[in-house]
Amino acid sequence: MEEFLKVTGVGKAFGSVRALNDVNLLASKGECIAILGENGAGKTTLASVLIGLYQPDSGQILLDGVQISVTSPAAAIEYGIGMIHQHFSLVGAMTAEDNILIGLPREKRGPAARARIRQLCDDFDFTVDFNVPVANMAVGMKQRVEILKALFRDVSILILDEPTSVLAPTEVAPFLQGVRKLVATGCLVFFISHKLDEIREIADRVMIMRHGRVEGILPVASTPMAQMSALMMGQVDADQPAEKPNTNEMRLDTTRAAKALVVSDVSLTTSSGAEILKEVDLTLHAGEILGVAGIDGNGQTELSEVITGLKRQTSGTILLGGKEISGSSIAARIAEGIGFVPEDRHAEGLVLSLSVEENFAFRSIGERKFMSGGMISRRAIGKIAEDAVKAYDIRPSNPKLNASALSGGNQQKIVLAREVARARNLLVVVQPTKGLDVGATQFVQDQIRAVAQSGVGVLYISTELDHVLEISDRVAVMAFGRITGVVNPQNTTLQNIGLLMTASPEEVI
Amino acid sequence: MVDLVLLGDVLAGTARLGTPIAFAALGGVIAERSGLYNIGLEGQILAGALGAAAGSFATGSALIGLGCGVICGLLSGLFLGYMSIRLRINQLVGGIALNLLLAGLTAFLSRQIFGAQAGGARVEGFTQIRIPLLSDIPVLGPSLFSQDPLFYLLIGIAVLAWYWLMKSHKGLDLRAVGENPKAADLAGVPVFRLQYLAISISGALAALAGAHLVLSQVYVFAEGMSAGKGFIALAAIILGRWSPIGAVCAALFFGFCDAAQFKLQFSSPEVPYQLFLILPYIASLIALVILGAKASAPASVGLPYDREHR
Repeated sequence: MEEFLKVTGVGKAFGSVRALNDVNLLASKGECIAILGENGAGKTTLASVLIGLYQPDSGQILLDGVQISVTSPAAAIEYGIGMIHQHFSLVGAMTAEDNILIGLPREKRGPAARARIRQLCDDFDFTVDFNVPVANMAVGMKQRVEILKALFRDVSILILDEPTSVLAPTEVAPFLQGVRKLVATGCLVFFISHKLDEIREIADRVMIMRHGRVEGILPVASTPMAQMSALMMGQVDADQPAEKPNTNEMRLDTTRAAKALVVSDVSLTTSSGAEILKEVDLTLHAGEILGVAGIDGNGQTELSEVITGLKRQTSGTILLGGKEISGSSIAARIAEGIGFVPEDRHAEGLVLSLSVEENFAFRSIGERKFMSGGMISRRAIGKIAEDAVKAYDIRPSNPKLNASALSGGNQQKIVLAREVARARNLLVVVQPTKGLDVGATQFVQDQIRAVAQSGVGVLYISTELDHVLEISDRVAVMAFGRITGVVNPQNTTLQNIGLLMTASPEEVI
Repeated sequence: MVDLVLLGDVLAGTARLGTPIAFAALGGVIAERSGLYNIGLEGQILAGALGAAAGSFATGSALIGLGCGVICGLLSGLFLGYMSIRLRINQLVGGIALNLLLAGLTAFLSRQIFGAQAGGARVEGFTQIRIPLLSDIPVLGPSLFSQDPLFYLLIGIAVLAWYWLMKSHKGLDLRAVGENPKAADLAGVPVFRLQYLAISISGALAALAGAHLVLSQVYVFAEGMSAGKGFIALAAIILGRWSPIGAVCAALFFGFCDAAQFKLQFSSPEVPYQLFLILPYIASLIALVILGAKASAPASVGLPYDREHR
């Protein structure tokens, strides 16, 4: 194998967190290497080291046999290393062309540059609107602008960080086509992903990372998927898939249980007259998991906000355990035992600049268990946080760290642990598995099942249909702000749910 | 014809009173476009004024005075940049600290330099330049085309700044830094170098405002002579929508209000003059309320950039 890129012994720590630990890698030109790993395995950190965003604490990087030091992203560009970030790095207020040309030397920006950008678009069959600011583009197009930016800089190494996670299903195939072309031109492509089928389709070899280490670099064609996922999850015996109990059979019949939540005739109309929710009726029994499925933006988020008090419904009533809470404040609803895992854990679920233990406590400050003599009891907070960190296996396990130092999956565990603890009657979860890998998803689902077993009603709102079907006792489908149907996941078809999800407003009436 | 004379007077006053605000506002626009607040404009005006007065006092040359003022502004800009970029100090706090520091320092130094006269020393300044032919236009001629050289410099710099910021490739990079420093960094833009450049230029432009006060208006340095112009300039930045030309126009509008209130003071001596003094501030508040709501600042202004931030 012709050796093009060589990484030896690279390590990187953030405070006490070892994000990368003795990473070694050999790669050649014209190769696509998938990087597979759970959230927080060090995939993105490794990429950030390669493009000069992070400086490694130890180790070497060699390009064509020559040691290089990538001290800045500008230096990375010099060496022909580029990266497409999961959350793009584009200037929203500027056009595609401006975004591509930023930072280039003057001689590369002349009128010839415009022609070359369009030529690249043709070569890769990219459609890009050059007249609108990037902020107004759909994600697929933004991603194409990012790729053009890298291509225009003549990258010989391109790192793609979970490139398909933001794309609509129909955009994935053309994107993979473009990547294949790039590899064919001799580019070394790293494809960070946790979607095994995509890795199968696009990659030559797969590098599996776990806890900041490389667990193995294997040829994709001859490695069974089960072995990949086993290495990723750290299971020693590759043949034994993770045991998954069929929990639905173990579940109690909850139809006779008390009603945990009754939403009747709730409508929400914005000040501009748009009807976000229309006459929504829902009943949730104690101990039941009621899934809410639907295409994103059909009122699911608003439903969760109306129930938890973030938004006030225009009409209708909400009963929690038989008690009306339609007009109650958020604090009063929390006191009634509602737990809420919001959709955006960064913006709504956590304060990233506070420590893990403070994040556990801040919704409950003032409760007696956290106070001593009128002051916040650090010891009590620390104790509760430590227990939760242990119970939920939150890593790193130091509750004094800032929440921002944790990976997405571990951050979600903090939110979940905190909200489960306060959900005495009702737990509302929105997109709880968004952006989580297989292991973390499984963990979150198991915790939610356990909460329901203990007699709490769970409203499980998600756009990931298979997760909803897997966990729910009943599934309510929303479209255009209405409940278009409530089905039993055991005896319904995907086709039926698909029809309910896309039911036009006329059909609903 | 009395009204036309009055109008001419007000216009001439607009140019004279608006020039220092415009210089400072230009400086603010360039800093904010690079993602840095320059709240220190007020103090930097004083630094420029003292530098100009001292330079001119020592050498007898207004031009050397101008140079000294600009150097003082550059240095104060670099200092503010060091606080904002390297130390990542909250930019509002850093700017306010700089204002307090420079207000005290210039007062102290002026006594050291000018001695017993305590800033009362008269220095050489610029005289008005009459542009042939144009200055003969009625009303507009005497007011706009027989101004001091710094007014013409302002117009030149404003056009230059607009071209540099909006049309040149360095300007594109600078604006990208102000919008999204990480994206700019990843595209190979030397983020910190550009920010230092911008904040230094910003200080130099604010200093030109101070130099104008000393060398073209009153020919002496006085403690606290900036008198809030640096803060009005901050409003002019918003009103001018972060465009160099827009900011200069907004600054001249404030100059106009100021000139008008002077005229009103003289024409209505029975009204307490304090009422008229309020006028420019009321106008700026009203203008901000009407126009400011729609304005959009550079997306990352005021947020320090840390490459390794997670």
